[in-house]
Amino acid sequence: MTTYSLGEIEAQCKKAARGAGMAWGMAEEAGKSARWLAAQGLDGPLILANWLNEMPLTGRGALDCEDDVWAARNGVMCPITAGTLVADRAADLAKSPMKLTKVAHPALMLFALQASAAWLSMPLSIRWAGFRARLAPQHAPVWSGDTRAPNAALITCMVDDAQPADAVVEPIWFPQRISLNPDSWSALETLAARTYVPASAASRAVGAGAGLSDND
Amino acid sequence: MHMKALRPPEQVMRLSRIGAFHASRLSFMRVLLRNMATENWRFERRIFDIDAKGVGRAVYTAHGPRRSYSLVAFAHDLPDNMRSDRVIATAWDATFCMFDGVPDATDLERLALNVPLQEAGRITSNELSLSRANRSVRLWAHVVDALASGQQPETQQIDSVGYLMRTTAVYGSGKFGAADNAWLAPRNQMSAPFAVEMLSVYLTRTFIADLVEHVAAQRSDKAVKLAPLLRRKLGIGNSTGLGMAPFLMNHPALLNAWVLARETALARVRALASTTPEIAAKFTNLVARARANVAGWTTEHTLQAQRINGLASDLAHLATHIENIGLTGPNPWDALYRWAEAALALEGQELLVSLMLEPHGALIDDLASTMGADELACHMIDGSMTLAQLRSILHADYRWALALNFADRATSARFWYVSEEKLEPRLGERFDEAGADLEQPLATGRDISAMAAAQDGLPDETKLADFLLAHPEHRHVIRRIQLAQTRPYAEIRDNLIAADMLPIDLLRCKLSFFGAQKFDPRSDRWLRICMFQNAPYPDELTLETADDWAYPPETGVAP
Repeated sequence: MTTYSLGEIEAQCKKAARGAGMAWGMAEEAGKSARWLAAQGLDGPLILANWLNEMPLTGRGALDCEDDVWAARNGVMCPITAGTLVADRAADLAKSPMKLTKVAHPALMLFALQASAAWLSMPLSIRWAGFRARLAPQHAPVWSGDTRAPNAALITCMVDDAQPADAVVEPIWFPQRISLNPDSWSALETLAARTYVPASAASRAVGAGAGLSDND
Repeated sequence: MHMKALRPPEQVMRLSRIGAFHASRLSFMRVLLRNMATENWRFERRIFDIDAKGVGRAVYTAHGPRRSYSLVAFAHDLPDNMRSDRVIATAWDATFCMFDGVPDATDLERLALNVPLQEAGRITSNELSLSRANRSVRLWAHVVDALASGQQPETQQIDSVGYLMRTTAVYGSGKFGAADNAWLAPRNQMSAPFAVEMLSVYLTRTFIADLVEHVAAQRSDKAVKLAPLLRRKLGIGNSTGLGMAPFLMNHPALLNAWVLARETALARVRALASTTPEIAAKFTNLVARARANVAGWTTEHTLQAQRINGLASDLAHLATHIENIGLTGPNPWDALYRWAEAALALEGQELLVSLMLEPHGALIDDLASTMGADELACHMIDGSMTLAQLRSILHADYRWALALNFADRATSARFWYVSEEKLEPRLGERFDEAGADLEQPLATGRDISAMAAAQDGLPDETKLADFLLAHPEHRHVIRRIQLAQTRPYAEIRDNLIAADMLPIDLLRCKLSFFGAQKFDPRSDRWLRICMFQNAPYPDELTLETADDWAYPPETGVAP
C-alpha cells in the first residue's frame, strides 16, 4: 500500500474539504485534523473522506446552544465546526465544561482539543459514549475506545486535572509515515479536483508566463 | 548593546522593496556552507558511472558529524526538442534526489525507476528532495568543445551565462512521497529552512562540473579539465515561475522569521557607535567587489535592465560617498543607511543592507538559527478577542488593505488558482478568463477588506468566536491577523491581485533568502537566477573559503 507524507495528507485533505464546500479557514482545520490523526497512526484521511461524502446529505445547519448543550439545528454537527467551536472558546473551556450533541465522526475533533490544550497550557479531556481521550501539552495523546465512531450523541470537553496512572509522558512524536486505504485517497482526490481550474488556450499561453525559449 | 529600532513593516513589506532584496550572509546557501565548514563535513563521490554520451548515474555523499546525505544523480540524453524549463516538461537532461544516508544497490534500482519520472514517479521517506536540471545549451556545447580540444573555455562565455545547467524544480518536504521536514526537526543544521534543498543544489553543481569534464574526456584523448578559477565561476542556474509565488502568503510565520532576522541584523549594525579600520576597509573592498558583480549581471527584461543600470550608478555614488565621508564618524552605519534612504533607489538601498551585514558576521550570524518557524504553534485562533480589539488592530496595521477599492476592476484584476493540468499555482485575469469562482485564498488585502466589511456595525463586545461561528468564510484572515500581531513582517502589505502586480517581486524575495543572485526575469512571472556562483567546491570548502564568495574579487574568483 502506498504511504503518504504528512504534508501530502494535509494538503490533499485541505483541498478536499474546500472542494466539498468548506470555507478556506475551515478547510485548513480539516487538513490539520486529518494530518494530526495520521501522525498518531490513525486513518484520519479516511475519516475525513467519510464525513465529506456524508456532509451534503446530513446538512450543516446553524448551531445554537440550549441548556448549555451545543447542537446543529438541522441534522448532525460537522466535526470540524465542532472542533473550532471548542477551540475558539478555549478560554471558556478553562472555566467550565462544554457539551455538544449529535456530532459526526467525532475523532476529527481531537486535533482541536490538542491545539486548545497547548494554547491553554492545560490538559483537556474529551468523552463520548465508549470513548475517552486525554490531550495534554507536550505529551503524546492517550485515548481508549473507538476512534472510528461515525457519530457521538453527546460529547463532553473539559479540563482534565486527573493524572491517569497509565499516562504516557513523552514529547509528541510524529511518525514518519502511514499507509492509507487507496479508496479513501481517491475519494479525497475527487473532491480536491473540484478546486482546480481547467486549462484553456489563454491560460496555457500566459498562465505560467515563461514565454521565451529554454533552448539557449 | 543599544538596539536601533527595526525598520517598520509598512516600509519593508511592500512588493517594490521585497522585490529588490539581495542575498546576504543570512541567506540559506551561505548558512549551509558556513555550517558545513564549521562542522568539518567530509564529501565523497561514491559512484560515477556515466557513458560516452553522458548517460548514467552518480552518487555524491556529504558526511556530517552525525548523519550522511547523498545526492543521487541520473544523467540523460535529452533531444533538444524536449528541453523545457516549464513544470509541464516530462524529460530533462538530469534528474536528482537527496537520499537520507547512503543508498545501497537496491535503493538505487528503486530510484532509477522513479527519479527520472519526477512528478510521475514516487519517492519515499528515505528521500528528502526531488529535482531536475536542464543544460544551458550554448555554454554546455562551448565548454565541452573547448575542453575536448585541449583548451579552456572563454571566460566571457562563462560569465555571460554563469552556469552549465539550471534546475527547473527542487521539491522538498513531503512532496511526491518524500520525508516531511518534521522528520528532520531534531537534526540541527539540516532542520534549517531549505537546508536540504540547498545541499542538493550545491552537490548538483559539483556533479555537473564533473560531468562536463567527463563528457569532454570521452570525446577526445586531448581533453583537459576545467581550470580551477573557471570552474569556480560556474554556479548553478534555476528557472522558476509562479509555482513558487504563493509560498510567502502560505507561510506567514516563516516569512516573518526570515525578514525579522535580516532586519534585526541591520538594526544591530546600525546601532554600532563606531567601526574599526579593518571593518571599514573590508566594507570598502566589498563595495568595489559588488560593483564588479553588478557589472556581470545581465537581463533582457526591460524593467530589470533599467534597475541594474540604476544600481550600477547608485553603487558608484555609494563608493564616492564613502570615499568623501569615510566611516570614522559616530554611528557610521546608521549614518550611511540614512544617507542611502535619501540618495539611492530601492535596489541600491537593499544591496547596501546586504553589504553592511557582510563584515559583521560575529555580530549577526547567530540570527541564522532564528529563521525557522513552528507553524503549528500559530494555528490557534483566540476566539475571546472582541471586535473592538480587532478594530484597533485593523486601524493600526491594515489601513493599506482597507484603503483599496476592490470594486475597481484594476484593483481586483487577477485571481490566483491551481491549474487542473499541472496542479500548479497560476494567475488568471478575473474579467477575461473562467475560473475566478475557484480562487485560492491568496488575495490577502481583498479578503481582509471583506472581513472588515462583514464585522462593521456589530457590537464592540462581540467575541471572535461568535463572529466566526456566523462567518466561517473569514476564518483564514482572522488567523492571519492574529498571527501577525506578534510577527510584524508576516504580511506583504500590497494588493496581490492588482492589474500591475509583478509576481517576480514575490519570487525574488524568496530567492534572495535562498542566496540567489543575478535575477534575470524572462517575463513578469518567470525568473532565472544563479546560485553558488564562485562558491568553493566541496574539496575546497574550509572556514576561510566558506564565507568569502558572494562578492567575487574585482579580478575574478577568490584565490
